[in-house]
Amino acid sequence: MSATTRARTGDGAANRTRRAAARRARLRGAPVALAGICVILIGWEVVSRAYGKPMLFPGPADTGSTLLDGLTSGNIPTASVASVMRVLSGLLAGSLAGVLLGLLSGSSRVLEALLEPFINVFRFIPPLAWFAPALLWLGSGETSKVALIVYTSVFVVAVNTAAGVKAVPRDMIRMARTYGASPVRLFFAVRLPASLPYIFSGVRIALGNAFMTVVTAEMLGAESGLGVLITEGTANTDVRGVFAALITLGALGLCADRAFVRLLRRYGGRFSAATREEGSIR
Amino acid sequence: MNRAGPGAGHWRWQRLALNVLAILLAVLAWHGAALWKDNLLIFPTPLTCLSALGDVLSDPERRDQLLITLRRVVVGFALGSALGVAVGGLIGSVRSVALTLEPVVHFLRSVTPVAWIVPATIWLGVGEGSLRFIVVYATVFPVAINTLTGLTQVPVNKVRMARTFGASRLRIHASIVLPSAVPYIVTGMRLSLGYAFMSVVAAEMVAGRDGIGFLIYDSRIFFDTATMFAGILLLGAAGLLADRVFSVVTHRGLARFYAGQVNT
Repeated sequence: MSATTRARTGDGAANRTRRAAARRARLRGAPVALAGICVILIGWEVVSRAYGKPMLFPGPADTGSTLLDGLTSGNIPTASVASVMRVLSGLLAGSLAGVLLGLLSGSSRVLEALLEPFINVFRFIPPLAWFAPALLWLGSGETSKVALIVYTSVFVVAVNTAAGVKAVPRDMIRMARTYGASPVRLFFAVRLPASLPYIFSGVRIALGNAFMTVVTAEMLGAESGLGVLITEGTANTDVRGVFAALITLGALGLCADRAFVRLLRRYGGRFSAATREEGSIR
Repeated sequence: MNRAGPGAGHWRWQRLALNVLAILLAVLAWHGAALWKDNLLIFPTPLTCLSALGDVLSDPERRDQLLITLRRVVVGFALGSALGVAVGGLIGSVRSVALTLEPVVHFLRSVTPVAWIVPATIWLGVGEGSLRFIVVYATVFPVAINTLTGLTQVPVNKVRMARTFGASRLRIHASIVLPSAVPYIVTGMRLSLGYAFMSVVAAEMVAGRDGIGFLIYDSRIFFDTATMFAGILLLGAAGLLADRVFSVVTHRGLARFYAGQVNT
């Protein structure tokens, strides 16, 4: 007992020094990074001034003021909330279904052989191709958009889950069996926890996919959302609005990804040595 | 793979049989559901879809749509991959570039390519230029980020060995760091190939005048649901085939870069 505690604190201290060193390195790099980003922004402004049509090719100043206007008028926040709600509900349903499918196909060869043709073909049919059937079957309301997001998340999560179930160290399973674990116990105490890192990485990819799909789905018809803002910008040939929506979208996607990784590190760390050691967010 | 034992050859046939069985069952279920729904406009049977597929493939003009889409995928994928390797390699090798460009790359990566269709059509016009831009955009980032990861995952001991034998930094980069990144680059390219298919269809639907995506979109407007499904099936088959060809070609052609890895 005492040996493990000591080992753990030693590990923690090593981690802390490593993290502090990383933070120092980041601080040292900050001026260079800032200067670089300034150069890029100035370059963008210069190109846009040279182009001479701020409606068609706005610079960072124009884009920034449009973004601020949108944020203060409540336009962009409402649209963002609508889009994010779609992403979250679709992602949740899709991930649950994906985990179920993946667990099934990962734990039995026969089920895997039965499921794999579908997983392989559907992976290459983009969600947008289903847009028309979704409209026909589910109507133009919220359901069809969420269904498309479910579709983008399901297969990634399923493939990753199946890979995780198959990658469980055989010695662990043998040990549990030797100690007389029932199949149910084996599943909940060994197979599922050991495949969680794979499941999480699948969900992370699905999160990115969901942010892509939601925009497309909204561009082809929705009441509110960031995709709608983009379409409106096109209709008015006002690229400033499009850029403001794009920036919001990128920022939201990036934040969601980082938040997911953070949550995983904090609460899911014990399931995976990999997330702690190499999952460095750069 | 690790379960492959004495009966492996036998299992391969059983597996194929199960695959076929699953597809047959699904087609039967589809047929049953379509008959039950009894509305060909909304829910065509597999047979009508198959005949629509036959129509598409026998009509030279519509057959060309598939070739047009494939050409867009191939050209955009090649350009985007090359650019991705260049950008990722630059970020992975030069520290000041990494500090400047990496946040930009991560930001742009999280903006979906489809969202760029609108600015692209405004700048480049409706047509080949903006479609190509979208495909290139979709393929660049997975390749760039995987290249970057590959460059940071170099086996330390190999670098140490080379240094012990007196290799210069350039030499180490060329003969150890880059080759060990190849599997990562290939993985990134395989992901990108999928993204290229997705984005080209999206772009054709929103801003195209031809191609499979346009075919799907166009048949929706005319309520030709069977042709719509034919297009979707065609797309799935083309994507699957492209993925298989890519993975076979890269594993045969680049086998030496995977030396020492069990799971290829």
